[in-house]
Amino acid sequence: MGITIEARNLVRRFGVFTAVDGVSFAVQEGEIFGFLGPNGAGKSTTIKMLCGILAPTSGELWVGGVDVRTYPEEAKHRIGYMSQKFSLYEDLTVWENIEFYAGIYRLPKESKGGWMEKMLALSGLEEEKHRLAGDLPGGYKQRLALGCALLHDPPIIFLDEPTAGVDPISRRNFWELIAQMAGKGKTIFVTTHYMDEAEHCDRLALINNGKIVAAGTPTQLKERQTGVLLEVATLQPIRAFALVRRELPETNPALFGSLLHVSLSDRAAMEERLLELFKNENITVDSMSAISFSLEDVFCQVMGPGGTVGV
Amino acid sequence: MESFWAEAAGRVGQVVKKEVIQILRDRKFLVLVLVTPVLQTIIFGYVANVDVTDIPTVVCDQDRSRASRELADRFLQSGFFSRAGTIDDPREADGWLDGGKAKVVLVIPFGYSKEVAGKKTSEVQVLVDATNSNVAGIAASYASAIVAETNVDMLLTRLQRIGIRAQETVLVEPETRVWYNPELKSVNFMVPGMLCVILLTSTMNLTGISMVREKERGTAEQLAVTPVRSWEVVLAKVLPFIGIGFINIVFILFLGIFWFGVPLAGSLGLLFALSGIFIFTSLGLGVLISTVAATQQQAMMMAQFFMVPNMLLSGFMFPIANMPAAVQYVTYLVPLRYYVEIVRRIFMKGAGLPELWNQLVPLAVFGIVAVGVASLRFRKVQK
Repeated sequence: MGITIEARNLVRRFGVFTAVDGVSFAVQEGEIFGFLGPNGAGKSTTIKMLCGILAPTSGELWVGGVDVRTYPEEAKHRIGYMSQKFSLYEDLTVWENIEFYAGIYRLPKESKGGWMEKMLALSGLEEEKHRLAGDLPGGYKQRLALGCALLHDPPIIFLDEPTAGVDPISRRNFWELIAQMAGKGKTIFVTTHYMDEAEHCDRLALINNGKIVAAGTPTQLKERQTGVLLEVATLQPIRAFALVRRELPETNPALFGSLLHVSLSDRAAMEERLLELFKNENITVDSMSAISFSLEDVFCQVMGPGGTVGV
Repeated sequence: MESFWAEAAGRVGQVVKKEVIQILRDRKFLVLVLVTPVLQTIIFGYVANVDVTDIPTVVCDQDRSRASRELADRFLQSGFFSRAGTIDDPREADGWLDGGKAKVVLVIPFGYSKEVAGKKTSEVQVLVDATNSNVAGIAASYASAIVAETNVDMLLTRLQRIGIRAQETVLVEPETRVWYNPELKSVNFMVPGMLCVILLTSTMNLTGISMVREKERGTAEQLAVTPVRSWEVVLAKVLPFIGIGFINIVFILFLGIFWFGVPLAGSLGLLFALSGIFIFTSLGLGVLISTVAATQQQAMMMAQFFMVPNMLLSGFMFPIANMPAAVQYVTYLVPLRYYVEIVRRIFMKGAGLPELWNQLVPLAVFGIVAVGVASLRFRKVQK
């Protein structure tokens, strides 16, 4: 298995704003590679450069062995792209959309009909074949968009926040589809800010302010966290959170429902300090226990003020 | 594997097919596209009549003599003036003119017949409402002509009295022949012009909007990741609108020729062929607008911005020869100017290709430049 997507020192500026700031990564064939980051971190900008629809300011990138900067059209036969926004023709029916993309990719006559039926089945839209795409519910639209992006059987698939605004059941179905694709040897590059989705990825890169701040498998990312993660149960979680953020910002406090997570580099010394703080402010602590890092903790940690994790 | 051209043609065909489905499915759009030009033609055909006839005229005959009635009759029977009322006191004229009930007041003073019969010059007053300077000018010149005619007739009568017969008098009489529009009907001139303006509006606006819609909905980005080339998209977007442009021409010609009775002196085939070139130019401009505009509203505004100079400077409404010299040069930058000229020459003069080359070449150059710049600007890769 070789490297099929590679970026080296990728930079994209819009005027004075640097959206992507020296990003480098490599994706193996058949991998599900997740690009994780908050809104505006540079995820979509990166994916657009990889698809050859946005020119990089500097840096190099290869997709499917093709230099995208020099031969963007060559790379286009090898990739499928599903953008953040539903971007099929809402005034065409499901079938007309599929037919349109089949025609644009010039699928050979003999296999065209078969592929179209196959993608319709994959999207699970046989019943909706003659409905206008614009009338479909969100989850169906996403599946149709994926079906159209896969019509020409591309080995590499780019998905830009594919499940944004889709209900949980549709999201799960969608990820099952993605897993199936990967099982067939397709490389999948997906951006998301859902932590549960990130867990499905083989490898992740965390991006913030245009820079990759952490990368690795989900397990590696969690294990790489140093120190201890404490989960504090209190009746005044919001006050507690505000207090810790003000007094001990280096612990990267984060609220998970009514629970407060703080990470301590030196548990013995810091725990005392924390308890003292709570006591002085009359915050009652019901329980405090060490737990293992979740991906969400890693995310908050890395994106937080004090945080960087070895890449 | 398909050849390069077969592949390109296949993709263009696919985009055209999609475009046609979309146009046919959008009923409101379809009605807008097909019905609007027809309505515009009908409205323009009736409204844009610059012939001045039946100017409402008030007669103030203070003299009340046979001679004064004769003069008034000459006015009222000319066809240019029609009686709107009669007054006794010239001071009442203000009320008629201010109220807009009359455009012209003819005042024949006391003693007109005596002065005319004696050897004195009499002054007849013609008051003209010049709110519309165009109509006023025409009315004033008609009035002078009628008075001049009266003078000549009186002169001839007197000469006759002293024994000189009319046939022996020497008078220079201009003999004007009106060519190309012998009936001097402005509709014959306006309908061909309307054809041009309506065609520009429908084709330029519509392509602009249709292209920008693709951008707005994100489908342009999706297209950009496919192997379809920019020029294939531009071409495929333009083709259905060429069809719509020709349908519009057929409707307008039908109305113009059969409803308004405008004679077509030249060749219909040539008119269609050269209209094809104009449609190409106008669509190129539409595509060009779409590469600059980010939203449909912006595209509409830009098209509108472009329309005004086209209307004013093309000679459609105002004769270019009457414009200040500097402005006349500016009109060369207005593509509609060439097409208006072509259509009017074919319609009214029956001009053929040899007489139209000098208009055709700049028009085609405009089109090629517009489509070329648009294709370059409609890049798939965002810089």
